[in-house]
Amino acid sequence: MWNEIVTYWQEEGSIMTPMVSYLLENIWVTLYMTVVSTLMAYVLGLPMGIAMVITAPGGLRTNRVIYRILDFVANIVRSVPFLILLILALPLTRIIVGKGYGPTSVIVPLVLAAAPFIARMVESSLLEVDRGVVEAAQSMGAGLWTIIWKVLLAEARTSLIVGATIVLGTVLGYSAMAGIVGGGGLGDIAIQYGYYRGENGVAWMCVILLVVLVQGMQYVGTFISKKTDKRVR
Amino acid sequence: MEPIIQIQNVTKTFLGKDNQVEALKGISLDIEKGDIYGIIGMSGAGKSTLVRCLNFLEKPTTGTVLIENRDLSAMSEHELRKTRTEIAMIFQHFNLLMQRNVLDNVCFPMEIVGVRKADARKRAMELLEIVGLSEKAKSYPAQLSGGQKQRVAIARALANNPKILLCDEATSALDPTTTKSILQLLQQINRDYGITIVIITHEMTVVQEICSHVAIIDNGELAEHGTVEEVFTSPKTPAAKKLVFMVNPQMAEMRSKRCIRIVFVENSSFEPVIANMILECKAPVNILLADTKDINGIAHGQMILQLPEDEAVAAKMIHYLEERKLTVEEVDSYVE
Repeated sequence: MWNEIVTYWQEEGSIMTPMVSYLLENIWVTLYMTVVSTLMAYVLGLPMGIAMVITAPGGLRTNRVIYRILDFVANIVRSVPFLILLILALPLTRIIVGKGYGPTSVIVPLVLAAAPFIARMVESSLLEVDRGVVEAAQSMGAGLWTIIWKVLLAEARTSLIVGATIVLGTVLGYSAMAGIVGGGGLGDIAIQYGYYRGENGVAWMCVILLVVLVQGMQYVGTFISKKTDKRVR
Repeated sequence: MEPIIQIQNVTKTFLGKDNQVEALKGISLDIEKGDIYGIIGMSGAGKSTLVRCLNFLEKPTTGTVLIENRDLSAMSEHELRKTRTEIAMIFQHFNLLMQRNVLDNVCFPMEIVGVRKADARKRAMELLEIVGLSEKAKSYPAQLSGGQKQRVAIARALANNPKILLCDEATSALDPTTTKSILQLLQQINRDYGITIVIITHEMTVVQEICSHVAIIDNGELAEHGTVEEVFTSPKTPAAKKLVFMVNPQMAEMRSKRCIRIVFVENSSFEPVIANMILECKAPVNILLADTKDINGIAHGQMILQLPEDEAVAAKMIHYLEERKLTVEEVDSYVE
């Protein structure tokens, strides 16, 4: 790995080659796709996850039909490989973004893929909240929204943050496949230059940058979740 | 006096996958204002289901509950929630919000009814003062002991000035000393604020300690109810008898093979030597044979005692008897 990177630099005769600065620019493209997609996916996935917990058997507003539909959607979408989803979503992408290529157009399939995944993560986080605490809130006369907001989400926040960190890493991985539609970003470059053109040095640099990004996100996520958890002495 | 809670022919049936469980089989009971009412039963008797029917956390299958003559089953969701703010509840596992500090936990019920934040904090501090935890206001539940958590739960329960306090096995997760202090606190609350308290428990000692009335639930039915004295002095049903006599810990069978013979020659007949020894050593002995008589105030005769297995206790007993000028000798193979 290191040999290939050093060889690349020797051949180019400089460390700060146009390719390297192109890579650094694309860190932002990757972050843009990952963060924006994740945020937008949460707008869909969080309510979906909450709805699944509420309507599940034994939930606060049991509704078998709604639960079955949400459960089914969450499973179906997660079973479709992202590469296929990327292509299947193209017509929708063109309607929403106006074009079928570029980083912004990758956000549409990324959101579609991440939302059901997020719904599952949120569901499992909320199910960890002690049933007794929910019962206590009910006994005080709390309504559904108070329970969702002040009991379920507030009590599960540590687990939700850990979940969000996992989601970010997954979406970052998906974004690498954006190259198929000319999405750009580090993953795209790794495939286009590294894989198709056999420039291993470039590929390895992309991989290293991606590893640093994931590590950074994981570190920040773990830090915040620990900082906000009041259950430890 | 007007009953504050009227339980009217309440039944509750839980539907399982291929069976149904009748948790409550038609219970009617009146609880009067200011009572500390104990509801006691073996686990699985249906008492936890019954207490959840009192604030409709469980809706009865048939029958209803009236709180101050208002029928809970006739209420809209909104009215029911409003009524629940008058019926506070504490739990076996405290059920505090683990991500909120003590002060914010006590503020929570006031947030629900829309008390202004500053007022809520002021009231919460007063309540923490009452339960003796004002210095823990900024602590989190994970940093508190079980007894302290239950005190926070009690402060939280009092926040909206409830008329009724339901306690679901509130002391079952606590040690005896802490249980006693929590019960004293409940008694003080009942006395100072006139709050009617309903206590669900499986421990007769809890009922004995603070309740004015008791109802015994057995297998989903109301077996017996009345004042604690009535039920205690003359339990009528088998379920009541079982619970009342359970207070005395069941006699452990003696397995020890160690026996002693003691001979009385010069002791006063009026000194209860064996009883005193038992009290002193806090362990039982088994009297296998006793043949003593009182001759002019002096005890004469002999006894054979089976001693506890614990060597130290047995030695202490022998020493105690020798101190009392009794002849003590070990008897081999008296019991097989």
